[in-house]
Amino acid sequence: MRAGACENSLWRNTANRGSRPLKLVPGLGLIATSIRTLAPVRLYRPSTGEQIARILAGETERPTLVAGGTDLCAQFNDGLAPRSLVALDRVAALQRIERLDGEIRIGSGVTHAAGRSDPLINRYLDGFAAAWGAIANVRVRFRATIGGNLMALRPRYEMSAILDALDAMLCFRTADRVASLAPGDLWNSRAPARSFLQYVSVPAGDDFIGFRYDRSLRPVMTLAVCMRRSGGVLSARVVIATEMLSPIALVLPRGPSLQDLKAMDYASAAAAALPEHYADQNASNWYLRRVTASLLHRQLKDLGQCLTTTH
Amino acid sequence: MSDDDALTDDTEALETVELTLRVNGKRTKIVVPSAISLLELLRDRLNLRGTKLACSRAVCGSCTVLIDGHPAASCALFAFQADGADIVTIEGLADKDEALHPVQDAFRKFSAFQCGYCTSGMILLAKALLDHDPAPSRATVVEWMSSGVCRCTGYNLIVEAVLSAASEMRRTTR
Repeated sequence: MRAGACENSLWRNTANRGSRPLKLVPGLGLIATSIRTLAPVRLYRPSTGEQIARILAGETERPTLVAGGTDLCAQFNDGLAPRSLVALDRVAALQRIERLDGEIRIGSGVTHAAGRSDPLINRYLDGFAAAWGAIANVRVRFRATIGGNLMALRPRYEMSAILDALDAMLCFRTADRVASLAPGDLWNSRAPARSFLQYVSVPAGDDFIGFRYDRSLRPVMTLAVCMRRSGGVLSARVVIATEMLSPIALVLPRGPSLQDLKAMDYASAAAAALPEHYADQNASNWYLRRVTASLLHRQLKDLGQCLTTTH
Repeated sequence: MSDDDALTDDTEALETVELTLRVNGKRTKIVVPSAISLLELLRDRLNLRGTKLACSRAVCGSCTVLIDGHPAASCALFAFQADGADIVTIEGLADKDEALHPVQDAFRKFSAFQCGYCTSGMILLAKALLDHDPAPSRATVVEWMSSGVCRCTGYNLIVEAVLSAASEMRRTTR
């Protein structure tokens, strides 16, 4: 039994009835652990990023960061039993969206609902707001944050694939340094020790043409594509993900650029670039290639129209 | 993003926290343990038992309350996350003369419930929708209400009730 579990309400209620107390073993107990079964915790309520970094540096055991908190309850069900919490909701800088040097910087505490309706995102990143507003459900969208979605590291959460296609970078901060990671790096290397995600930076310069996200086949697969034009050359970054597998970017071999190929040929080439090992119990590699070609063709045609009307 | 705010004492760890909230229009000040959920605060401390606990992981919607007008799963929120907020539970929906809210009335007329366990969450979800969009399409109602789970009704009666309430609310505010 974990230390302090006698403080939880089930234990108290049982003890009050004078019967033999129930033993709660995370993962083996009568009920899953939840907020209701947490032992008492220490709560920090910082109001600046510097304070968060200082708290993280000072605690011997890493505290659990609480932004929207919607994924935390699932983590409690999985056995997470924090000794301390750091509430991020008072840090105004984490809830800000701003445009700097051709980038849109999105604070890690921005909720899905706020991102969906933000004027900067709607103005400079065509297609991103619509994708952001479609994930999760209504109730979750008002609470859950972009940072929580990423840092939960659950393949079925969609922001990692979306941001990967958008060429975004994640900015982490510790007490003495700042480090940037690509969204895909989150799955391979952990964020710097004692750091927190400060903001997400999305390139939104003149090279940006449009972004499209297809989740119509979810949970089998989702597909994100971002089209850019640099030095007169069109390029598309394509990322797919499944319910079980972390996102993967489809890297085409150097060759004809997007503008030299028909959309269907490009989509087929991108689908063929999907590594053979990429498959799960919901979809074979063959199936994923087929649907990738089909969905990508549709999205490229849509982005092509965007190209002719806006450029 | 820069942090130019001056450092204060916000790095001090708290075992308990004092909250100031407005619950169903009534200003409430209460000291609670740091890790208590909003659901526990409402049900066990404020005796508002209309908010139900089921899944404990923000999936089913039976614990839905409105926080600053937006639906939220109270089982999956710490009480401190609602500090300073305006909270509406099912008990706060009927008016002072205890006349039912139009959404409640529509649920009654359409028998949009059976066991009733999900109903308080569904009604609050519908109220938030109609406050946000007084004339929602059927597709919008389905999308919005799909964040609540009902094992009895098959959802059709709930959707009909929400559309009817929307129509009634538009008629009476004309």
